[in-house]
Amino acid sequence: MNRSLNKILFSMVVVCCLVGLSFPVMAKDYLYVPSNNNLHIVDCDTDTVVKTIPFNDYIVGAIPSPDGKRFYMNSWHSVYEVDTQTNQIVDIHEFWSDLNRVTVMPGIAVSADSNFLYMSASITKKKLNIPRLNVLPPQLVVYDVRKKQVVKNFEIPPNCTTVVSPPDDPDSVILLAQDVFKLNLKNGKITKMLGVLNPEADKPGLNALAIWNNWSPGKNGMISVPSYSAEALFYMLIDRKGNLRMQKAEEIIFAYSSTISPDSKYIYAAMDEVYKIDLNSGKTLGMDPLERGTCYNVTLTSDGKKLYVGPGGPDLSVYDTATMKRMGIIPLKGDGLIASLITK
Amino acid sequence: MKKKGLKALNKRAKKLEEREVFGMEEVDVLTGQPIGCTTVFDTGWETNPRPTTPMGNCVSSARDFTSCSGPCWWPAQTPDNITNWPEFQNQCLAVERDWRNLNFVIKR
Amino acid sequence: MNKFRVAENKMIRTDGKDYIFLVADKAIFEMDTPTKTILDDLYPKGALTRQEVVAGLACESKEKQEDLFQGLLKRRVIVPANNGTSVSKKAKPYSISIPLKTLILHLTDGCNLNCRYCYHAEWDPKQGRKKVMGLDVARRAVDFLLDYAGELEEVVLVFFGGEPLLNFRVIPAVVDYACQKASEKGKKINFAITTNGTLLTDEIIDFFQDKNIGVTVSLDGFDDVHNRYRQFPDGSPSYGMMLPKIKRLLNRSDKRPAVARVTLVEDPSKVPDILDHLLGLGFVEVGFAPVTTGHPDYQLSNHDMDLLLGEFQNLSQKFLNAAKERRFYGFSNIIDMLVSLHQGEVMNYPCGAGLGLFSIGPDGQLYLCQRFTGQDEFCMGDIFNGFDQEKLETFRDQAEISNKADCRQCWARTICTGGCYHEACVREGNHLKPNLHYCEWIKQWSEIGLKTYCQLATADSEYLEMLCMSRGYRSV
Repeated sequence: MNRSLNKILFSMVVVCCLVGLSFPVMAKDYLYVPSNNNLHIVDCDTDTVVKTIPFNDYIVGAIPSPDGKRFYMNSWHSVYEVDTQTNQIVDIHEFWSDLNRVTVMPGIAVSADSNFLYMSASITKKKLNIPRLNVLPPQLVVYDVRKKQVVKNFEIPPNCTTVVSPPDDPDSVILLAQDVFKLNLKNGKITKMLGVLNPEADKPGLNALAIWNNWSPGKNGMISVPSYSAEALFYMLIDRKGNLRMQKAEEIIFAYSSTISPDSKYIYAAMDEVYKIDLNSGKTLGMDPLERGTCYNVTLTSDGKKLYVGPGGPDLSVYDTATMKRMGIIPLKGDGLIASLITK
Repeated sequence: MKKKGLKALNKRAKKLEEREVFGMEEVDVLTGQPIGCTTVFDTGWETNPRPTTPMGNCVSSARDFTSCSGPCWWPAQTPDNITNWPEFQNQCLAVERDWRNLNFVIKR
Repeated sequence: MNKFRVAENKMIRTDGKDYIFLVADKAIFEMDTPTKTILDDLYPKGALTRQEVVAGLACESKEKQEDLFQGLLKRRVIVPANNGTSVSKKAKPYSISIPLKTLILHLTDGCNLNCRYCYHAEWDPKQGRKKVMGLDVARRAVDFLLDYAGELEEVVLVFFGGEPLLNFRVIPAVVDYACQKASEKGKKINFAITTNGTLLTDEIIDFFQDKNIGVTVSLDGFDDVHNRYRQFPDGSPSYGMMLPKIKRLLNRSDKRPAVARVTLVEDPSKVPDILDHLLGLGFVEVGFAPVTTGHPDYQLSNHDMDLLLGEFQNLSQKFLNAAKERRFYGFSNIIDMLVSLHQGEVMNYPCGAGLGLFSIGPDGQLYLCQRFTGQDEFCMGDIFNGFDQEKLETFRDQAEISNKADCRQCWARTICTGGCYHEACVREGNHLKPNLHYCEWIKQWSEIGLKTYCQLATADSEYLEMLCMSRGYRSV
């Protein structure tokens, strides 16, 4: 009697497990939007701010960790570490002291294993009682977030505002500076990938507006940086492996930021207007003038169906990517610059 | 502040007073900004009038007032928020709404 | 709404003038009467709004009021009142590893004297087995110092003991080695030695002069005072036999004058005479320290401490009078206090022990400072394997001033910072406790120091700069 009861119970358990397996956990999109003194968390299903975390700083850059567990936002001298499970600021990494004056450039990156921050930094050292300041050459700093220690640093070419960490090439980072460089983190070797302000003899000089890196959602993840020559607009596309190619745009529009759809078919770009561009041909497919201009950021939901434009001031515009029509505006407490998608 | 009110005696007191000399002590050399500076009289491309929307010239300049102040986009018009006025955004969280709170900043 | 308050301060009035000492910043200002009146009025009112503060600044015009407000804010005489609603930032410095500045080498734990109050004798459980530092350990210690000195351009090596001259044979080789290694690294190394003076010879004295080694002699005053506690093991007195040697040392030490260190056990009324006697012999400076001991028989009583304070006050006045005539009166205690006040550096720790200063035992073990040599509890690693990082970090974390709850409200905390760890260990039972037994004394002494400082700063601030430079601080 007992044995057969156990058998029944066992098979029920097995069935339950199988049943459980056939219902995957629904991942949800959230937008993390730093504005002056406040971090807003937006529920992308309802387009409402569901939490606001106050702090006291001016944020110039932000990036989620690849594992989605952390959101980092940085001001000129500090990096705020937000736990995306509890939605709290769990640590503030301060990089400025009187003797060690570190300014962090806006575009920070996170290593593929989510354990390190890569930061382009301007460092000035001072000694106690000695009035001289020792300005170091520009550095790429590798910071261990758990140990709260700089583990390595490399001298890099000047004016690097953005560091890109390709998820499929954990041994390198890409530096968007006066030109585009690849830095090998193992041996510190730096190779030039693309001349921007210092082009090769037969290539055009470019002006690349590189401040933040917003990986497009999905497995194909790419970063797009609008770059202008004297005659044309190019989208500088960097993929997960760290390969770079230039896609010429059909129409020269003024865009500060752009992002790529998860199916790698479209580029969305914005500043005072928002555009939809065919990635492979560069043709403009759609456009809308933004009622609220000066938007520095565009972020897509993970299914590519909604586009958040902004912030630029104290608001986000929500767009339907199929029609390129504005669906609404999400108001924020203060001016912002950047937003990041976190799916959990 | 007239000297006769308080006279600094020790080195620490003198350091506190010295902060008024611009650039003497807390020099932060920013080496990583490729975005160029404007000239003194040019408010920047965001407010240049253009034939299409948005025509924001009369509204308090750019919505990203703070980000253009910090890295010295407008070196003369606005204070920098990297070294000397790091909590500048406290004066106005949203420039379109709060610009009236912005005070004059005078260094003697 | 942002609120403001007058910063925590101590006001001093001396010689007809008013001064303010800002506790948190260790900044000292001279105040004129209107400013003092304003601050006296505002301080008890606690946290006020900006308007309330400005309204309290009695001035001829609104402009002047605003001007005064900004001036007081800049000088941190007025500070924001904490509202406690902002996200608390834990003040952890960014990876500044503390460079090693000073190493104290215990050349031997043996001594040819048997001073009755010696702290070394009290703690050394291994009496009878005297350890001696070999040349190889000493050289390794030099390497260690230079390796861990970081960016510092100057480091200090001190020869200590027991009586270091018992192991004089290693000193010349260590000095030569250290000079060579330091020069290879582009650094400068300074040497010092603390000795009881009984083993000085002409050869040793010449060597000290030649190599510019700073000498500190431990002696307690003129003969009967000195002999009371500083005796040979057989009980015979030491003063008579060391006097000629001291005289020879002092006659030849023009490059780097010698300094005397006096341990006080009783009779504070003799202090001025002792000072004059030792300065008369030729010591450039004399420092006094009440004995550190757990034996109540040897401790200075409260009454004696009060008398001592009085003597110190008189000597400080003597120093001040000499300073006003641009003469130098070598009373170390007031000089140390004046330099500390003039530099105005707020310290989070009472001394460099465990930060930039360590002692090395004869076997190469690292200790917090020379007073803790030989005690395992305070061993922080060794020079062969390096620091015990965890133990050291724990000490640095625990020893920080913010952990001393008794000190939080004290106006003298940025001057005293809780006091000597060893003294606290002996008298309070725990090196992390503040030295509450002489708390009141320190506060009064700090006040004497402040008053002396203010008078000297008003009379001749250049003299203070010269004092700091003589202590190795560069003029900024």
